[in-house]
Amino acid sequence: MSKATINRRQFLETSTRGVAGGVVASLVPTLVLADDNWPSQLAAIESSNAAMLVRMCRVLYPHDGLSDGHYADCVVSLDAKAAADSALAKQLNDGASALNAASGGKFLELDEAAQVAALVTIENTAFFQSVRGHMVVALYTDRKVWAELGYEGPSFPYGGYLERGFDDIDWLPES
Amino acid sequence: MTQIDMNDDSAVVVIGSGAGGGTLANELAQKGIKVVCLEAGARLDYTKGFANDEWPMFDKISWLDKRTTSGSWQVAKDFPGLPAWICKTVGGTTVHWAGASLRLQEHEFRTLSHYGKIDGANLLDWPIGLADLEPYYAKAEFKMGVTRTNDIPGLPPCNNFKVMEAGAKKLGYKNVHTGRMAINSQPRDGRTSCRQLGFCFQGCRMGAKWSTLYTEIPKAEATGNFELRAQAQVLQIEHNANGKVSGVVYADKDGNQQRQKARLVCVAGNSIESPRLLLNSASAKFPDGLSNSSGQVGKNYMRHTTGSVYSIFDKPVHMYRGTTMAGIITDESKHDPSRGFAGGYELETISLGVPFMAAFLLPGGWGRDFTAFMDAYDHLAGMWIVGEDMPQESNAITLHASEKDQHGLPVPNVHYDDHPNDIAMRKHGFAAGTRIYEAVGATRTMETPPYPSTHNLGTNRMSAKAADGVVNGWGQSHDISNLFVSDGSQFTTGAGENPTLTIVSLAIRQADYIAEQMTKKSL
Repeated sequence: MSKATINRRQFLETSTRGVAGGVVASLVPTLVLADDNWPSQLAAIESSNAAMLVRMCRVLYPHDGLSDGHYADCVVSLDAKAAADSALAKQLNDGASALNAASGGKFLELDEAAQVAALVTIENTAFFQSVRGHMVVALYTDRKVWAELGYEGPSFPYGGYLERGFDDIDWLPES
Repeated sequence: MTQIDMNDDSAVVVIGSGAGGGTLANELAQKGIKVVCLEAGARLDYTKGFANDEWPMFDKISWLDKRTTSGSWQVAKDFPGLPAWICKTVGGTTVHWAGASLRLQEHEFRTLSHYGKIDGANLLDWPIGLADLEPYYAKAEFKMGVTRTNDIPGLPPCNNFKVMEAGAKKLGYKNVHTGRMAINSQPRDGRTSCRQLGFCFQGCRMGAKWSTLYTEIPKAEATGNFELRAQAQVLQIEHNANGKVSGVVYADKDGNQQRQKARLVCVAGNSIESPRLLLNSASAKFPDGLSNSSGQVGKNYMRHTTGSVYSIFDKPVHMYRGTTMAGIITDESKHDPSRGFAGGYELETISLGVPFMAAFLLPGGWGRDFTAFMDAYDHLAGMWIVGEDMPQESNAITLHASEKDQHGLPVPNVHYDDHPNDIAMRKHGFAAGTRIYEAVGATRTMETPPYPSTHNLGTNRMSAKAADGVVNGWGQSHDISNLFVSDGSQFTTGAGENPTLTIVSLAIRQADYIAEQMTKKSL
């Protein structure tokens, strides 16, 4: 399991679709996901809901090259928000339980297409938007994810890209 | 550092330190005029405070005070609390801007005459033309070190530009180059040259991109005629019994209210805050707000017709390596009604890092259609459509009826509906961008909807007649002779070009006018 180093951000939750404004950055050192017991260390999300949320996160933003640890990191940083916001904690726990109940308690056993279909039915709920809004920031600010996607991140420490491939494309037709 | 007394009523107060305010303040200070510049945001040091990291810099430099949205525009659905992507920091949005420095075209100053009446559009000719601005465009280009002017070479082509250029040339576009950019292609004016960091939007860590933060502001300070007060958010402009402005009330960094007296006041808070301030300054004498006898303050809000095209290619592009806006196609910027719309648009490369790409590629998007683009991140090329949108009186900045900001003042609501002309232009731009990328092998293309507005224009517009607008051709209030508007809210119409060069040119010209009028004792 990877080390969780997500920036916690208030982002998107009050919006139906996008940036709500007032994006507040604060670094919250979270748990080290050293073992499979990490759900029991969550402060606000019930451990029984942890696997549900990890799976939901993966179905929202499926990257086959990413291990579950990246998604678990996002749940850990979501938990840190929920620990400071009891209404959010309730929304997440109730939402995850309801999502599972709607699948007869077998959400985790569904195939991806069926999981997507289940999420489509709750797309307009505050629960869905809270999780998605958190995820779209948390997952894609994870530097390990950047590396997986081929993004090199900060360039100033390396002198920019002037001598490091800013113009190295070699497959275009001659003009 | 020079300190100007709060009761010194010989001072010019400039509100805002960005392209308009920062430039105007320096130009006035250079002429020996005493200036207090009040900037709502904090002062950062680009050598220490700028990180190559999208969200942390967004949090640090953006204007995130509460705003609301309404109207049928996509931004109100996707980003209801963030209508505009502009800055609250010393240097204003010149910290964030990409550097594209284009002159407006001659016909864009007289759209009503040239395009004719368009249903639903509040078109009006500017009271000035290209000939009036040309000498000032030249001064602005020299000041800012714009590439491809003043014998300054263009920036070298990066990967993202090369893809767009190859596709454009295959389709027969003629005017394709690495842009007229206020980014040093060689050391100039005490600043170093671009090293293709790829973080123009986060504040240029090299200082190679022109920003008032480290050009106009320190130059003004060196004159001894200028005082910058950061974290000073103006709440109200005050006037005397004669109806002339007399000073401003602002909240300092501790939230305490201060009153600075003034000989004249120049408003340059960008096209949301500037009209908001005029409206919030309503008094018994001016019950509808300052300079609002026409009722046009806050009206005719424009934000450019925008959209982005991102395409996936079989082989790597690495678009993020290099300047964000790395080149341009200008062929579509003409007025050619046979395309089904009035006015024109530019196509300019754009690139976002992974954090912003996730947020802006397809707002609200999820699932494999979305992640296919993220998985292909290093195989993407991207371009931005920026075109003239129609001024509409109903597109407006208004004061919210109940929501208040941290100072107890009504927050601005930003209302915008796309005009049919805007929709037709965007559709044309999306199709053009898609064809360009498909010409060089794009396998999949995303039509990305508009980002929160960076080009906010027109809400205190210039007009020849006082009944049609807020300010005259010098940016001077029709109603109050010692009140000026010095930012993009002066624009009568939006034109198809990135607005900063025009804002800077208008500010230099306005400074000449103010100095002349002060000499004549007319101000």
